[in-house]
Amino acid sequence: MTMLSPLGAAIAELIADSAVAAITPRVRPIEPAAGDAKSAGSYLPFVVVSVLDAPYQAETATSSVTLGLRCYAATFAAAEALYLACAAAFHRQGPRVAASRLGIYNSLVAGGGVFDKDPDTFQPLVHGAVEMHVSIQPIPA
Amino acid sequence: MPYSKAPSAKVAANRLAKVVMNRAALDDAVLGMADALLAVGQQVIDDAAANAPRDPQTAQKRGVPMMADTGVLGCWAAGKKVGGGMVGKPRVTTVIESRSIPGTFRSVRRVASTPRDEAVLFVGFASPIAHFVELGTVKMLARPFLTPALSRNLPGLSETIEPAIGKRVKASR
Repeated sequence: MTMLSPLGAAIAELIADSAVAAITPRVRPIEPAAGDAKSAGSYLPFVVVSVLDAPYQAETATSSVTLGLRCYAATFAAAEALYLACAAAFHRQGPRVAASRLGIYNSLVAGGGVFDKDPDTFQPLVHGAVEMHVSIQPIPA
Repeated sequence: MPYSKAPSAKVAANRLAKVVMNRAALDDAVLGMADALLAVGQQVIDDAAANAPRDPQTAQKRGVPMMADTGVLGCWAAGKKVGGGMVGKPRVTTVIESRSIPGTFRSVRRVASTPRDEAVLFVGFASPIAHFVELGTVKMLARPFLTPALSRNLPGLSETIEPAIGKRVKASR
């Protein structure tokens, strides 16, 4: 059985989203890429998407996956703008099929919008959590 | 949620008395539901604590409790606090669609609501580093412990609620 990555599909959706792309092309899985995390004065906007929970659900054709969003920017206002752009890409979005043929039945911003500063670089960021209900097998073309 | 100073004995006694008074004013069905929520909340905290990373040396060096041991919960029913050690309601943020510009969103931060016709349970970890462990930082991968604990324990909620309400109602007859 082919298992598909909801994380990959979420990253692809964010990169393809025009509002997010207008702010930053840096959308990273799991951790920032080298050079994303800068010190004060040279902060770059970027988004890190991680998997908070992807429980294995036996005997079902779907899975409920919780993704964590961390939206970094130079200021809190810019971080919130980036977060809201990411949120709009997922919030209450209906059925669709990702390029990888992963079926996404719906997605919802489950929580977040919380302002914070990274403990290492002190870069402003906004946290969020997205729930996606996805297929566990590819949707035939 | 930052650490708060431990309340004095008088303040703690007052809080407890208030919770007892609030519970006395509720009917058995609501109290049964609150009891079940508190039981499930404690299960979530225990499960999360068992899977949370532990660093006893750093905690000892800094003189703070280990993050995994700072689980806290609070239950509100009919708008009143009826159990748990959480001091005050947490703040929550929700994303809502803008009415003036459809398709755009804004975030609204407010104190969590506890409607009069609902029982509400809050579960969290009070350590100031808990959310960094759960969600990650630029130098540390996310190590989620609370979200998986929630999804493991919430499906059994109805199995806990029904007997708890039945027990309460039976005892009052």
